[in-house]
Amino acid sequence: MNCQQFQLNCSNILEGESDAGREYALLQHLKQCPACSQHLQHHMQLRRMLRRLPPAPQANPDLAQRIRNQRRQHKSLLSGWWSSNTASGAMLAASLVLFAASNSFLWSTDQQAVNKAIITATLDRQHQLNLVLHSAAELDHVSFSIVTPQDLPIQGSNSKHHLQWTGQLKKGKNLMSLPIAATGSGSGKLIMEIKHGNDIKQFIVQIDNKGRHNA
Amino acid sequence: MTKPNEFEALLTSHLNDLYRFAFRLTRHKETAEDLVQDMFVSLDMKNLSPDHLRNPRAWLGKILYCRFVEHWRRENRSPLSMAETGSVSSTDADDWQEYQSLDAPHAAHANPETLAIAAAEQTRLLAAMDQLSDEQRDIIVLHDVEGYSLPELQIVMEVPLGTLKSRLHRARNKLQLILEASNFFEYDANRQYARAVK
Repeated sequence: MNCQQFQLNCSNILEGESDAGREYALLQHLKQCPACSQHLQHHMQLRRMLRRLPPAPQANPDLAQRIRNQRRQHKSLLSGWWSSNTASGAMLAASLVLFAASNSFLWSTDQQAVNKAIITATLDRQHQLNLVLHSAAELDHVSFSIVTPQDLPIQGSNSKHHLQWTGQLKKGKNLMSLPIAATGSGSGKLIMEIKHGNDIKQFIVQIDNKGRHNA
Repeated sequence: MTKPNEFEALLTSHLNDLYRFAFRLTRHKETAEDLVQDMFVSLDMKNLSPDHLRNPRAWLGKILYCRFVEHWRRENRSPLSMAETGSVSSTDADDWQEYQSLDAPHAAHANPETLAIAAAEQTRLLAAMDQLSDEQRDIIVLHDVEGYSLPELQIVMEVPLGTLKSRLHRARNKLQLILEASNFFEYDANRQYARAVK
C-alpha cells in the first residue's frame, strides 16, 4: 500500500468500514511511513475536536406551541385564500383599496413578467389585501412567495414579513386574501412571486401610508 | 391515511433535533426557528408513506435541508431579499459568536486556563470550517458534529452513498490541510505534551 492509497482509506478505517485484510495492509504501511502516521493522528484528532464542539442551542421552549398554533392558522388561512370564480363579491367587501393584479392569462410565454400597482394602507389598522389571479388552466405545484415591507407585517403568522408555500391554482379567478397591518411608516413594496416550472410571475404592490386611523 | 396524532408525535420527537440541525446550517437562532417552524407548518401529512415513517428523522431532515438549500441559502444571498428583509449579518454574527463562546461539554470541570485554550482551539476550528464549501461544511457538521449517519445523510441530502463518502473524505482532508497550515495540530500536541510533563 502506498501513501495515496492509505490516505484514501483513512476515512474508511475511522468509519469502521475497512476489512481485516485492508486494515493489516494499512497498519504495515503506518509502521514504515511517519508522514501517514502523522496524517492519521491529525485525522483522529480532528474528528475528536469536531465531536467536542459545543452542542447547538436548545429550541425555544414555546416553539412547539407556536408551530401548533401557526399550523392551525395556516390551514384555515389557506382554505380561505383561494376561491375559484367567486372572487368579485369578496373583493368588493374588503376594507382596503383594492388591487387586482391580473391580466388575461397568468402564464404567458415570457419567462418573467412583472405587474405593478399602488394601494393605500391606514396606519395601525388591520387590512385585508386581496389579490385576484387569473389562471388559464388548473396548475399544481405552484410556488408562492410573498415579502411584505418592514412596516407591514403579515397578520396571523407571527407578524412575519415573508410567507412561502406550494399550492395549486384553479382555472379562472383565484382570490388570495392577505391580512396585513400597517405600523411605523406603513409604506413600502410588497412583492409576490409565483413560480410554476420555469415560468415566474412577479407582482409588486406599492403601499402608501394614508395616515393614522381614528377609531 | 394519517392518524390525527401523527403530526404531534413527529413534532414532539424531532423538534429539538431539527432545530439543532437548522441552527448548524443557518448559525442564527431566529432563522433556525423560522426554518423549522415553516417546515412543520407546511408539512404535508396526507402523503406520508411507510418509507417516511421508517426513518422520520432522516425524512424530516431531508425536507428541512431541501428548504434550506432551495430557499434560505439562495434567498440570503439574493440582493432583492436582503434589500426587502434587511441585512441579517449582524444578528447572525451575534448568535454565532455567542455559540462560539460556549464551553465545550468536556470542559465542564476544567480550570480557567484549559477552558481558555479549548475556546481558542474551538474558534480556530470553526474559522477553518468557514473556509470549506457549503457542501463540505454541511456534511462535516451533520455527520461529524451532529452524528447523522451516512445512510441517513443519503436520504437527507439526496446524494448517493458513494458520493457522500468521497465528499466527506475530501471535506475532512481539506479541513485537515487548512488546520495543518496554521499549525493547529502542533499547537495541540505541544499543549498535550506540556500537560503530560507538568
